[in-house]
Amino acid sequence: MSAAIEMAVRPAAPPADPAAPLLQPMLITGRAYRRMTLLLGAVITWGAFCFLYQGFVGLGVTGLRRPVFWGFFITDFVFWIGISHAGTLISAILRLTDASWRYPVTRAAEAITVFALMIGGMFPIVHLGRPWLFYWLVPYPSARMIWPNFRSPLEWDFFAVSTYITASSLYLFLPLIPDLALARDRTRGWRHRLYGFLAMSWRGTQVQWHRLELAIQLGAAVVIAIAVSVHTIVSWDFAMAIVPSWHSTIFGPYFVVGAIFSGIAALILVMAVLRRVYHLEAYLQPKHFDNLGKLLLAMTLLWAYCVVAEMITVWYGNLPDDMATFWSKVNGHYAILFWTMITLNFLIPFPILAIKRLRTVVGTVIASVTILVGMWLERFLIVVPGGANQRLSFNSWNGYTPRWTEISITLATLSAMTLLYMTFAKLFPIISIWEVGGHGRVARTGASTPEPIPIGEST
Amino acid sequence: MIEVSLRLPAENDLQGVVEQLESGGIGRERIEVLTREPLPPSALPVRSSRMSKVGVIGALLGLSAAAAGLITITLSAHLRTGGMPLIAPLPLGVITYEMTLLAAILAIVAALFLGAGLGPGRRVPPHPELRQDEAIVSVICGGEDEAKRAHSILSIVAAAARVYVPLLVLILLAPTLNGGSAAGQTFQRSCAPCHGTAGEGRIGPQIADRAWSADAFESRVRDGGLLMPSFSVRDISEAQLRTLLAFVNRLPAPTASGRLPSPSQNEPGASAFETNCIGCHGVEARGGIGPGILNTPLGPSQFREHVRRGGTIMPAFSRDRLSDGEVEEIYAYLHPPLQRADPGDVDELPAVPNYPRDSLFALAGLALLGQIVSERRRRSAMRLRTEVEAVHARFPMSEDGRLQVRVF
Repeated sequence: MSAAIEMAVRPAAPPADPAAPLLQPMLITGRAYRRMTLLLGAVITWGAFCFLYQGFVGLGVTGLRRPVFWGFFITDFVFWIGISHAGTLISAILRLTDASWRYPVTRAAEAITVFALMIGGMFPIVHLGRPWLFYWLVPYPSARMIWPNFRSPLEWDFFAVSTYITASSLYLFLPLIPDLALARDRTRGWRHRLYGFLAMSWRGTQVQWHRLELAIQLGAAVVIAIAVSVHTIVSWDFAMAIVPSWHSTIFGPYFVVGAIFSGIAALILVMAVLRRVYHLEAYLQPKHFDNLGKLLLAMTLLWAYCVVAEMITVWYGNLPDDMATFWSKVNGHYAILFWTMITLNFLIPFPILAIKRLRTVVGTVIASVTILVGMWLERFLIVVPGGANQRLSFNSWNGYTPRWTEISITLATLSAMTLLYMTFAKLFPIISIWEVGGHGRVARTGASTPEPIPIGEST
Repeated sequence: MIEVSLRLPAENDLQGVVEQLESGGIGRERIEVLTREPLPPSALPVRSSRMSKVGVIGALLGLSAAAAGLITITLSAHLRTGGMPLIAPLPLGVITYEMTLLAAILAIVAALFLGAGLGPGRRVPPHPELRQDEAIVSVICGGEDEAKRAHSILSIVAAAARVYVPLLVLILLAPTLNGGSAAGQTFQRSCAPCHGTAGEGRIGPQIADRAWSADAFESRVRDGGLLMPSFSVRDISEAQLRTLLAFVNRLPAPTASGRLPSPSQNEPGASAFETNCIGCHGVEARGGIGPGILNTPLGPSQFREHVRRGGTIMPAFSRDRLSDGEVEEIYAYLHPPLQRADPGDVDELPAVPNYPRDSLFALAGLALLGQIVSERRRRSAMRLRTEVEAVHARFPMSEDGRLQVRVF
């Protein structure tokens, strides 16, 4: 009897570490990664040079001139703030609704938010004529008791973006803590010290788990409220002005819908790249792309609805100032861009996403790429035609043609976003290890209670 | 501080283990259950949190602070140019909204950090060996007494956990409480004082996992042994004897946790020890009539001399009974290799800088300072190491490292 039991209870060989495939990409750096870093670094350096050049010479080196003063930079600002809704908003909604497929998706989404916000929040500063005075936005009586003008939407942007970046960084950080502790326990050297510091002495006691999950849940609710307000406030940058086609009441929800729309597209694209590069096929399954594709389908329809609602009220109102912008988009100077936008944002992705057979990984990625380009065009078509067709007709001396400066800076920020994300994925587990984990998940969702097993016989 | 911890599969009755520790007089606040993933709330209830209220209070504070600040600014500081008011209802609303939510999330995070004891630079070292499907029951002990209690309770749990955890925790531990089966009570009253609460052997030999036949068991109980008292029918009735036999035969093989290797493991010295020493010094060499001799501080030659000469009570063992080689084997057997909680513990001790003593630096006097510092560090490292080893010698760990004692 004893021999048999001894055999049975002898600890089996430890199973393959379930966390290993997710920690692996962090620890191995390939040649492609280094080359990509160099390439992106070069583009960023060039962009930084352009920014310095613009600072020394003045904004005249860009294509911004009368009457269009809001061009690429503001377009980029709105676009990136929109992308940032990927993350937190989607992950927060999925958390609050307890969607069980969310686990491998949330971290990737939250990281997009933080980095897109960093990039987006930079653009108003890039756009400043004297960017070194940006700190005048900070609400304190900077000189002789003169406060910043709280009635300026730019000031609201300051509050909204800084609140959002604080909240979304915390919201990224909180679910990261247990994984940082795991990484701390599995690494050595500087990584061990870095993760040890960031893990905040996490031990995984049940009180810690309980509090953490509660904090994430409460944080999700707060973050949704912040995210919706942020893009509404960004839309008020336009809607509070009396420029024709900007002065619209639907802009708040319209911008939020557009933001979530482009955010989901960015998330799908990032997930596809991660899946391919880091071989995460086991975690980011076609199911996830299918589900996100469905969300994207809903957002395509909502976006189209908003566009129609916005255009049709302008058309029906038939005010001459508004109609000038309207016709310049539908059948004028910006018509090519406008119809390209409609094609990229609706005509191409709608069938791909609506037909189940096409809603594959490849299909959703194609739809996401067209949507990202289309949504950038949409931001451009909101910002520029309004500025170019202002009420005083002699203001329309000129249109807007971007010059190499702002094009370079735009490309550089795109590279910076990519590089930041790459670095993040190299330093931190991009998939939430504790959330995608094994049987604990089963027990928690109450699907089944596992039978007690003898010690040493691991599942 | 001393941490006593036991690692076991997360599916086990963790609540039961925690209750055992509590009934052993260890405060709930000292007991922690560590996992890599959150356990279902039903597995181990956690006291509720006021975090949502803290969030609401934070939000209200943020709202009032922002509103009060903005109104004060508006009233006291007009723009110098043109006397335009700084603020209007909409901006007031926008800014207070953002500040409210910001304060709410900051309050929530602060509540998390305070409530969960998070923060940089903490005291208790982590458990890198913890796996995804396991849990660690950890007791942070204030003193050595508490550590002893925690250690004995957890080693029983570990012994029980080796075979069938939830079931056997109940079978084995229930009798140590007031309830439990009649046979368990009899066992605890009559056998456990000498043979250990799990029958693993203490003063008397191991009786668990010996597959007693009814006859052998009865004659042993009724007649007693060299040291063992005899139990009459008044002490243990016939019926009690039968249930007791069944109970003892159901006891699982004790773990090797922190004990001398069992004779079956063919450890040299084991059989010699069993024949000659066990009667007085106990199966675990922890003492019985004679003193505990596990890890005896005597040197090998002193030990041999003591065996040859005997003591006040201890008989002398001549070369006929024990050869020199056997004495040496016994000596080695009594010093089982220490098992460390975690090799990392030792690595974490401050490194000892190795200054070249005769270098120019030493002449410059700078190295003298370095020497002093390094000597101090070396001494404190040595002290810590000695302390760690001393504790590890007193609190043996299980062979598979599941039962750990760590000093920090």
